[in-house]
Amino acid sequence: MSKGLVYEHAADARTTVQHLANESGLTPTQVQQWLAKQNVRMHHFRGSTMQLVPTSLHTQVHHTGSRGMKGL
Amino acid sequence: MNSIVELLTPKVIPVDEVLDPASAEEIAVAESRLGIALPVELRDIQISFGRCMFCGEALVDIPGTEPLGIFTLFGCKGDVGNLVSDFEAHDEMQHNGLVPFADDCFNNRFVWRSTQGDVLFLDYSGERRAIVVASSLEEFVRRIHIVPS
Repeated sequence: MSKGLVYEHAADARTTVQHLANESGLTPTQVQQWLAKQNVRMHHFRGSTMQLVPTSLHTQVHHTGSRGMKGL
Repeated sequence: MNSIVELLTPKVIPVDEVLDPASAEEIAVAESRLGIALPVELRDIQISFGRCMFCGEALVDIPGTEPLGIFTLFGCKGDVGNLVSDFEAHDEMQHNGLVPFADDCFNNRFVWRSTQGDVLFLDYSGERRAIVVASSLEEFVRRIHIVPS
């Protein structure tokens, strides 16, 4: 759970990293390194819930094809 | 030192203990799999850094809108954060000649469009849209800044 999510990528990433830093005692940069090293990324679930999802799983959901991406 | 490397050097750190840059041979293998020649800017990133991340919260300034977060820069080898395997996993990138070179914390992508030389943001987690964020890789890199913590 991460309070203060506004469903805007950069702001919610900052909020989540800070939340994880507060919970773990790590610095925000250490949290980012952990996320990168573990190869997990954030996923808005619902409300104030942010999920940490393995990149491989996240990417499988990306298989949209070009018709599924506006602007291409 | 060229400008892209000069701009990025103070901003990037290894994901693991040390940087893992690619050799010219490894880049050639990557280009062969892509079927696309990497631009000099992406080649320089591979030769100098490989897969890496930023030393703090990194934002890309986009004129007329909120800045976008950027999380890691992709390498061209290995199992993780590899621009080649990411390209191969996405039909829309292959069909449009889009080379992924970075992501954000939400697994969205920044891609270099080989047909036009510009940089797009592929938003998979929001509206599933592609937006042009810079006219060139150099312009894109110049717009990255680290937020003081």
